[in-house]
Amino acid sequence: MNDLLLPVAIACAVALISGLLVVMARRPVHAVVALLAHSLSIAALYMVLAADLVALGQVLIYSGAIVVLFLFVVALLPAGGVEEPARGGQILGGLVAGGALIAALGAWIAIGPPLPVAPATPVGGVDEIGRALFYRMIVPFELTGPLLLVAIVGAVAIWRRQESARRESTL
Amino acid sequence: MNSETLILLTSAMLLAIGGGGVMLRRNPIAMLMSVELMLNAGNLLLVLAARVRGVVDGQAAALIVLVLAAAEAVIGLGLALALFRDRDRADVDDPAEVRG
Repeated sequence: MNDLLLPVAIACAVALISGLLVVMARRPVHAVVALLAHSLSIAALYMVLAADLVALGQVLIYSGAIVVLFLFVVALLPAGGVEEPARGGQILGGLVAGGALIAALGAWIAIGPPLPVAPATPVGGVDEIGRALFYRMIVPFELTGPLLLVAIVGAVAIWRRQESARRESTL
Repeated sequence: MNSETLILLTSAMLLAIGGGGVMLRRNPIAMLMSVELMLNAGNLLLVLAARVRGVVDGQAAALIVLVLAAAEAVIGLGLALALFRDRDRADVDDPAEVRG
């Protein structure tokens, strides 16, 4: 895997820079475009890690569905969702939260046992992932069905309640 | 430094960036996007673990987390739209309906 060090470094750099842009961009449209670049660079990292199926899902679900969903909502929000410059307290909160996370994770990585070197031949064709999903992980896999159903019904319920409240207020 | 360590560090930094973003931003869309960054960081770690351990379960878990992220985006964006469509700015500090 180390013959791919340069592509990995480039993809990691793109993922980090676009992640920072997502957090820092004042205009939500810019943040959404940065999220698209971020998700594609993560998909490239999945390819390097020999996770072809996850990379495919990342491109289809993240770069396709979720980013477009975000774009639609940005277009519907008041003033395109532009917000005022951050107050001092917010910047402090963001720095403290990010700093605490990076300190905790950095300490964990530094103290913990070193990462084992990846075996030369990767595992994980579609058949092996399917076997894992349908035997060992059947319960969480089946639970995603009700999860998606509840998400859809919940979204529709939120929307309908809002609509009926709006209709009453205009009458 | 080898590729595995580089990806591990990237995952940790992405989680920190996302966590900082949730605290920094007041726009509900930007906060949701920061949460997506954190989910991506976790997914990257799952796939990395599957690769270095030679066990495929991490990839299967990453697929389930992808579905979870999609459901989370649908509910979060629906709530954001329902709350902020009739206001003149999108700021999570504004809504006071549930304030005690």
